[in-house]
Amino acid sequence: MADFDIFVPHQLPHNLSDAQFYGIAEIQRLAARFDLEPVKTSKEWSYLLTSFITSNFLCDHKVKKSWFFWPEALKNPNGDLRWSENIRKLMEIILTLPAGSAKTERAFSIMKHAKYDGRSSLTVNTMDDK
Amino acid sequence: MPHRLELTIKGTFALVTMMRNFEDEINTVSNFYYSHSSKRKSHLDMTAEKLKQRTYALNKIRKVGWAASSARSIRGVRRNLPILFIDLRSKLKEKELEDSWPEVKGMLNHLTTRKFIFLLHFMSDFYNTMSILSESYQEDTALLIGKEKSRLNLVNYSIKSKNSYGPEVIEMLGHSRRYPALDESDIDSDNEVESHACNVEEFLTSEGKVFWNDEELTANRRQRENVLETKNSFLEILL
Repeated sequence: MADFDIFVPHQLPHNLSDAQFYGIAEIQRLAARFDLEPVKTSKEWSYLLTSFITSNFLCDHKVKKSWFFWPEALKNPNGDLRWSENIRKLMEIILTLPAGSAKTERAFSIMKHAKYDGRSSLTVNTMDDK
Repeated sequence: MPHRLELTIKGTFALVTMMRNFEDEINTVSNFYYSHSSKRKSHLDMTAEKLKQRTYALNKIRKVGWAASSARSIRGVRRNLPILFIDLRSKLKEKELEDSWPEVKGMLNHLTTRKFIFLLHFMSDFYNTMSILSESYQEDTALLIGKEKSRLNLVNYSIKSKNSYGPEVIEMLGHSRRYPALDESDIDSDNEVESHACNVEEFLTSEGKVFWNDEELTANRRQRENVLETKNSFLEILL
Protein backbone atom coordinates (compact mmCIF):
# COMPACT_ATOMS: atom_id res chain seq x y z
CA MET A 1 0.00 0.00 0.00
CA ALA A 2 3.02 2.27 0.49
CA ASP A 3 3.41 2.38 -3.30
CA PHE A 4 0.28 4.53 -3.63
CA ASP A 5 1.95 7.32 -1.62
CA ILE A 6 4.02 8.44 -4.63
CA PHE A 7 0.84 10.02 -6.04
CA VAL A 8 0.45 12.49 -3.15
CA PRO A 9 0.30 15.82 -5.07
CA HIS A 10 2.47 17.94 -2.79
CA GLN A 11 5.27 15.35 -2.85
CA LEU A 12 5.63 15.32 -6.66
CA PRO A 13 9.02 16.62 -7.86
CA HIS A 14 9.45 20.18 -9.11
CA ASN A 15 12.83 19.68 -10.82
CA LEU A 16 13.38 17.95 -14.15
CA SER A 17 16.36 15.99 -12.78
CA ASP A 18 14.23 14.52 -9.94
CA ALA A 19 11.31 13.76 -12.26
CA GLN A 20 13.27 11.16 -14.24
CA PHE A 21 13.72 8.79 -11.30
CA TYR A 22 10.81 9.63 -8.99
CA GLY A 23 8.73 6.57 -8.07
CA ILE A 24 10.04 4.29 -10.85
CA ALA A 25 10.15 1.14 -8.70
CA GLU A 26 6.70 1.79 -7.23
CA ILE A 27 5.15 2.38 -10.66
CA GLN A 28 6.68 -0.85 -11.96
CA ARG A 29 5.27 -2.84 -9.04
CA LEU A 30 1.82 -1.28 -9.47
CA ALA A 31 1.85 -1.86 -13.23
CA ALA A 32 2.77 -5.52 -12.75
CA ARG A 33 -0.01 -5.85 -10.17
CA PHE A 34 -2.65 -4.53 -12.60
CA ASP A 35 -1.43 -6.45 -15.70
CA LEU A 36 0.24 -3.54 -17.47
CA GLU A 37 3.74 -3.43 -18.96
CA PRO A 38 6.05 -2.32 -16.12
CA VAL A 39 8.96 -0.83 -18.09
CA LYS A 40 6.75 0.97 -20.58
CA THR A 41 4.52 2.36 -17.83
CA SER A 42 7.48 3.67 -15.82
CA LYS A 43 8.82 5.49 -18.89
CA GLU A 44 5.40 7.02 -19.49
CA TRP A 45 5.30 8.08 -15.83
CA SER A 46 8.61 9.97 -16.24
CA TYR A 47 7.28 11.72 -19.37
CA LEU A 48 4.12 12.65 -17.51
CA LEU A 49 6.05 14.14 -14.60
CA THR A 50 8.22 16.13 -17.00
CA SER A 51 5.11 17.51 -18.67
CA PHE A 52 3.72 18.45 -15.25
CA ILE A 53 6.78 20.63 -14.64
CA THR A 54 7.01 22.17 -18.11
CA SER A 55 3.28 23.00 -18.22
CA ASN A 56 3.21 24.64 -14.72
CA PHE A 57 0.32 22.33 -13.79
CA LEU A 58 1.93 21.53 -10.41
CA CYS A 59 2.26 25.21 -9.48
CA ASP A 60 -1.37 25.89 -10.40
CA HIS A 61 -2.72 22.92 -8.37
CA LYS A 62 -0.24 22.96 -5.49
CA VAL A 63 -2.53 22.64 -2.48
CA LYS A 64 -5.22 20.43 -4.02
CA LYS A 65 -6.07 17.06 -2.50
CA SER A 66 -5.39 13.89 -4.48
CA TRP A 67 -9.09 13.15 -5.20
CA PHE A 68 -9.32 16.56 -6.90
CA PHE A 69 -5.81 16.81 -8.35
CA TRP A 70 -5.68 13.58 -10.38
CA PRO A 71 -9.16 13.74 -12.01
CA GLU A 72 -8.32 17.34 -12.96
CA ALA A 73 -5.02 16.20 -14.45
CA LEU A 74 -6.77 13.39 -16.37
CA LYS A 75 -9.09 15.96 -17.97
CA ASN A 76 -5.94 17.68 -19.28
CA PRO A 77 -7.61 21.11 -19.61
CA ASN A 78 -4.80 22.84 -21.56
CA GLY A 79 -3.83 19.76 -23.53
CA ASP A 80 -0.15 19.98 -22.55
CA LEU A 81 0.07 16.92 -20.23
CA ARG A 82 1.50 13.74 -21.78
CA TRP A 83 -0.96 11.01 -20.84
CA SER A 84 0.03 7.79 -22.58
CA GLU A 85 -2.09 4.64 -22.72
CA ASN A 86 -0.61 2.59 -19.86
CA ILE A 87 -0.21 5.33 -17.30
CA ARG A 88 -3.73 6.60 -18.04
CA LYS A 89 -5.13 3.11 -17.44
CA LEU A 90 -3.15 2.79 -14.21
CA MET A 91 -4.38 6.14 -12.94
CA GLU A 92 -7.99 5.28 -13.79
CA ILE A 93 -7.67 2.01 -11.84
CA ILE A 94 -6.18 3.80 -8.81
CA LEU A 95 -8.90 6.45 -8.81
CA THR A 96 -11.63 3.81 -8.84
CA LEU A 97 -10.17 1.75 -5.97
CA PRO A 98 -12.06 2.64 -2.78
CA ALA A 99 -10.09 3.01 0.48
CA GLY A 100 -12.81 1.42 2.58
CA SER A 101 -16.20 -0.25 2.43
CA ALA A 102 -17.86 1.96 5.07
CA LYS A 103 -19.98 3.88 2.55
CA THR A 104 -21.46 0.73 0.98
CA GLU A 105 -22.08 -0.92 4.33
CA ARG A 106 -24.03 2.13 5.48
CA ALA A 107 -26.48 1.41 2.65
CA PHE A 108 -27.20 -2.05 4.15
CA SER A 109 -27.66 -0.45 7.53
CA ILE A 110 -30.26 1.98 6.10
CA MET A 111 -32.00 -0.88 4.28
CA LYS A 112 -32.38 -2.66 7.64
CA HIS A 113 -34.51 0.26 8.93
CA ALA A 114 -37.27 -0.92 6.59
CA LYS A 115 -36.44 -4.59 6.09
CA TYR A 116 -35.61 -5.72 9.60
CA ASP A 117 -35.62 -9.33 10.84
CA GLY A 118 -39.20 -9.16 12.09
CA ARG A 119 -40.49 -8.52 8.56
CA SER A 120 -39.32 -11.83 7.15
CA SER A 121 -42.18 -11.98 4.59
CA LEU A 122 -40.99 -8.79 2.92
CA THR A 123 -39.14 -10.17 -0.08
CA VAL A 124 -36.75 -8.50 -2.47
CA ASN A 125 -39.42 -8.62 -5.22
CA THR A 126 -41.88 -6.65 -3.07
CA MET A 127 -39.31 -3.99 -2.32
CA ASP A 128 -38.16 -3.72 -5.93
CA ASP A 129 -39.33 -0.75 -7.98
CA LYS A 130 -40.43 -3.00 -10.83
CA MET B 1 -9.85 -0.81 6.47
CA PRO B 2 -11.57 1.42 9.06
CA HIS B 3 -13.24 -1.71 10.42
CA ARG B 4 -9.88 -3.38 10.99
CA LEU B 5 -8.65 -0.26 12.76
CA GLU B 6 -11.66 -0.19 15.09
CA LEU B 7 -11.55 -3.93 15.73
CA THR B 8 -7.87 -3.73 16.69
CA ILE B 9 -8.53 -1.02 19.24
CA LYS B 10 -11.62 -2.75 20.67
CA GLY B 11 -9.72 -6.05 20.86
CA THR B 12 -6.84 -4.38 22.69
CA PHE B 13 -9.24 -2.75 25.13
CA ALA B 14 -10.73 -6.14 25.89
CA LEU B 15 -7.32 -7.66 26.73
CA VAL B 16 -6.25 -5.07 29.32
CA THR B 17 -8.25 -5.21 32.55
CA MET B 18 -7.76 -1.62 33.60
CA MET B 19 -8.85 -0.38 30.19
CA ARG B 20 -12.04 -2.45 30.51
CA ASN B 21 -12.67 -0.88 33.90
CA PHE B 22 -12.03 2.56 32.45
CA GLU B 23 -14.62 1.92 29.74
CA ASP B 24 -17.09 0.74 32.40
CA GLU B 25 -16.55 3.90 34.43
CA ILE B 26 -17.33 6.10 31.42
CA ASN B 27 -20.47 4.04 30.76
CA THR B 28 -21.51 4.25 34.42
CA VAL B 29 -21.52 8.05 34.22
CA SER B 30 -23.62 7.95 31.07
CA ASN B 31 -26.03 5.40 32.57
CA PHE B 32 -26.44 7.43 35.74
CA TYR B 33 -27.54 10.58 33.91
CA TYR B 34 -29.45 9.16 30.94
CA SER B 35 -30.84 5.74 31.86
CA HIS B 36 -33.04 6.92 34.75
CA SER B 37 -35.37 9.87 35.20
CA SER B 38 -34.58 13.18 33.56
CA LYS B 39 -34.20 14.78 37.01
CA ARG B 40 -30.56 13.82 37.23
CA LYS B 41 -29.63 15.38 33.90
CA SER B 42 -31.62 18.53 34.65
CA HIS B 43 -29.86 18.76 38.05
CA LEU B 44 -26.53 18.64 36.20
CA ASP B 45 -27.70 21.35 33.79
CA MET B 46 -28.79 23.53 36.71
CA THR B 47 -25.40 23.09 38.40
CA ALA B 48 -23.65 24.10 35.17
CA GLU B 49 -25.94 27.11 34.82
CA LYS B 50 -25.09 28.27 38.33
CA LEU B 51 -21.39 28.01 37.48
CA LYS B 52 -22.05 29.82 34.16
CA GLN B 53 -20.72 26.87 32.17
CA ARG B 54 -22.27 24.51 29.64
CA THR B 55 -22.69 20.75 29.71
CA TYR B 56 -21.61 18.35 26.98
CA ALA B 57 -23.29 15.11 25.92
CA LEU B 58 -22.28 12.09 28.02
CA ASN B 59 -22.36 9.18 25.59
CA LYS B 60 -21.52 5.54 26.19
CA ILE B 61 -18.52 3.77 24.68
CA ARG B 62 -20.26 1.21 22.51
CA LYS B 63 -19.02 -2.29 21.80
CA VAL B 64 -19.78 -1.80 18.11
CA GLY B 65 -19.03 1.75 17.10
CA TRP B 66 -16.63 4.01 15.25
CA ALA B 67 -13.53 5.42 16.92
CA ALA B 68 -14.97 8.92 16.58
CA SER B 69 -17.96 7.87 18.71
CA SER B 70 -15.68 6.61 21.51
CA ALA B 71 -13.59 9.79 21.22
CA ARG B 72 -16.75 11.88 21.64
CA SER B 73 -17.85 10.00 24.76
CA ILE B 74 -14.42 10.31 26.40
CA ARG B 75 -14.26 14.00 25.46
CA GLY B 76 -17.72 14.55 26.92
CA VAL B 77 -16.73 13.18 30.33
CA ARG B 78 -13.43 15.08 30.29
CA ARG B 79 -15.10 18.42 29.55
CA ASN B 80 -17.86 17.84 32.08
CA LEU B 81 -15.60 16.51 34.82
CA PRO B 82 -15.35 19.62 37.08
CA ILE B 83 -19.14 20.07 36.85
CA LEU B 84 -19.67 16.35 37.52
CA PHE B 85 -17.58 16.59 40.72
CA ILE B 86 -19.60 19.54 41.99
CA ASP B 87 -22.93 18.02 40.97
CA LEU B 88 -22.30 14.64 42.58
CA ARG B 89 -20.95 16.23 45.75
CA SER B 90 -23.94 18.51 46.07
CA LYS B 91 -26.22 15.49 45.63
CA LEU B 92 -24.48 13.80 48.53
CA LYS B 93 -24.77 16.88 50.72
CA GLU B 94 -28.41 17.55 49.94
CA LYS B 95 -29.30 13.92 50.68
CA GLU B 96 -31.93 13.99 47.97
CA LEU B 97 -31.00 10.49 46.94
CA GLU B 98 -32.24 7.60 48.98
CA ASP B 99 -31.61 4.45 46.96
CA SER B 100 -28.86 5.73 44.71
CA TRP B 101 -26.67 7.16 47.49
CA PRO B 102 -24.10 4.30 47.31
CA GLU B 103 -24.00 4.62 43.52
CA VAL B 104 -23.14 8.33 43.70
CA LYS B 105 -20.59 7.79 46.44
CA GLY B 106 -18.90 4.97 44.49
CA MET B 107 -18.89 6.95 41.26
CA LEU B 108 -17.34 9.96 42.95
CA ASN B 109 -14.63 7.77 44.46
CA HIS B 110 -13.80 6.32 41.06
CA LEU B 111 -13.79 9.65 39.24
CA THR B 112 -11.39 11.28 41.70
CA THR B 113 -8.62 8.71 41.38
CA ARG B 114 -5.35 9.62 39.71
CA LYS B 115 -5.67 6.51 37.58
CA PHE B 116 -8.96 7.65 36.06
CA ILE B 117 -7.89 11.27 35.50
CA PHE B 118 -4.66 10.18 33.82
CA LEU B 119 -6.29 7.57 31.57
CA LEU B 120 -9.08 9.98 30.64
CA HIS B 121 -6.64 12.57 29.31
CA PHE B 122 -4.31 9.99 27.77
CA MET B 123 -7.11 8.17 25.93
CA SER B 124 -8.63 11.46 24.84
CA ASP B 125 -5.38 12.31 23.04
CA PHE B 126 -5.06 8.83 21.59
CA TYR B 127 -8.65 8.55 20.33
CA ASN B 128 -8.59 12.02 18.77
CA THR B 129 -5.59 11.01 16.66
CA MET B 130 -7.17 7.71 15.72
CA SER B 131 -10.56 9.13 14.83
CA ILE B 132 -8.91 11.45 12.27
CA LEU B 133 -7.46 8.41 10.49
CA SER B 134 -10.70 6.45 10.80
CA GLU B 135 -12.76 9.31 9.35
CA SER B 136 -10.33 9.74 6.48
CA TYR B 137 -11.09 6.13 5.44
CA GLN B 138 -14.83 6.72 5.62
CA GLU B 139 -14.95 9.77 3.35
CA ASP B 140 -16.87 9.44 0.08
CA THR B 141 -13.81 10.57 -1.82
CA ALA B 142 -11.32 8.41 0.12
CA LEU B 143 -8.53 7.03 -2.08
CA LEU B 144 -5.62 4.76 -1.22
CA ILE B 145 -3.22 7.57 -2.10
CA GLY B 146 -1.39 8.82 1.02
CA LYS B 147 -3.12 6.39 3.38
CA GLU B 148 0.04 4.45 4.24
CA LYS B 149 1.69 7.63 5.46
CA SER B 150 -1.21 8.50 7.76
CA ARG B 151 -1.20 4.92 9.11
CA LEU B 152 2.51 5.20 9.88
CA ASN B 153 1.85 8.55 11.58
CA LEU B 154 -0.57 6.83 13.96
CA VAL B 155 1.94 4.05 14.69
CA ASN B 156 4.70 6.61 15.34
CA TYR B 157 2.38 8.61 17.58
CA SER B 158 1.62 5.45 19.59
CA ILE B 159 5.34 4.65 19.95
CA LYS B 160 6.11 8.20 21.02
CA SER B 161 3.31 8.28 23.56
CA LYS B 162 5.16 5.62 25.58
CA ASN B 163 7.54 8.35 26.74
CA SER B 164 6.18 11.74 25.72
CA TYR B 165 2.53 12.65 26.02
CA GLY B 166 -0.09 14.45 23.96
CA PRO B 167 -1.49 17.97 24.47
CA GLU B 168 -4.32 16.88 26.79
CA VAL B 169 -1.99 15.13 29.26
CA ILE B 170 0.46 18.06 29.23
CA GLU B 171 -2.39 20.50 29.91
CA MET B 172 -3.66 18.26 32.73
CA LEU B 173 -0.21 18.18 34.33
CA GLY B 174 -0.04 21.96 34.07
CA HIS B 175 -3.32 22.27 35.97
CA SER B 176 -2.39 19.71 38.61
CA ARG B 177 -0.16 20.39 41.57
CA ARG B 178 1.42 18.29 44.26
CA TYR B 179 1.61 19.01 47.95
CA PRO B 180 4.48 17.19 49.66
CA ALA B 181 3.45 15.04 52.61
CA LEU B 182 3.02 17.58 55.37
CA ASP B 183 1.03 17.93 58.53
CA GLU B 184 -2.48 19.24 58.22
CA SER B 185 -1.47 22.45 59.96
CA ASP B 186 1.08 23.13 57.22
CA ILE B 187 -1.46 22.59 54.47
CA ASP B 188 -3.91 25.02 56.08
CA SER B 189 -1.45 27.89 55.98
CA ASP B 190 -1.15 28.61 52.26
CA ASN B 191 2.09 30.60 52.48
CA GLU B 192 4.22 27.72 53.61
CA VAL B 193 2.98 25.15 51.14
CA GLU B 194 5.11 24.49 48.08
CA SER B 195 2.86 23.82 45.12
CA HIS B 196 4.08 23.19 41.61
CA ALA B 197 3.05 21.36 38.44
CA CYS B 198 3.79 17.62 38.37
CA ASN B 199 5.29 15.38 35.77
CA VAL B 200 3.59 12.07 34.96
CA GLU B 201 5.54 9.91 37.41
CA GLU B 202 5.06 12.42 40.20
CA PHE B 203 1.40 12.73 39.38
CA LEU B 204 0.85 8.98 39.59
CA THR B 205 3.24 7.96 42.35
CA SER B 206 3.42 10.93 44.73
CA GLU B 207 2.97 10.14 48.41
CA GLY B 208 1.70 13.65 49.14
CA LYS B 209 -1.63 15.20 48.23
CA VAL B 210 -2.28 15.77 44.55
CA PHE B 211 -4.82 18.28 43.30
CA TRP B 212 -6.41 18.66 39.88
CA ASN B 213 -8.84 21.54 39.26
CA ASP B 214 -8.87 22.11 43.06
CA GLU B 215 -9.98 18.51 43.52
CA GLU B 216 -7.98 16.21 45.74
CA LEU B 217 -7.15 13.02 43.90
CA THR B 218 -6.89 9.71 45.71
CA ALA B 219 -4.50 6.87 45.04
CA ASN B 220 -3.97 3.56 46.80
CA ARG B 221 -0.83 1.47 46.53
CA ARG B 222 -2.16 -0.86 43.85
CA GLN B 223 -3.18 1.99 41.58
CA ARG B 224 0.20 3.70 41.92
CA GLU B 225 1.97 0.56 40.82
CA ASN B 226 0.10 -0.36 37.67
CA VAL B 227 -1.16 2.71 35.80
CA LEU B 228 1.95 3.22 33.68
CA GLU B 229 2.33 -0.53 33.21
CA THR B 230 -1.26 -0.70 31.95
CA LYS B 231 -0.69 2.14 29.52
CA ASN B 232 2.47 0.50 28.16
CA SER B 233 0.89 -2.95 27.88
CA PHE B 234 -2.05 -1.39 26.00
CA LEU B 235 0.35 0.24 23.53
CA GLU B 236 2.48 -2.90 23.21
CA ILE B 237 -0.51 -5.10 22.35
CA LEU B 238 -1.72 -2.47 19.90
CA LEU B 239 1.61 -2.15 18.13
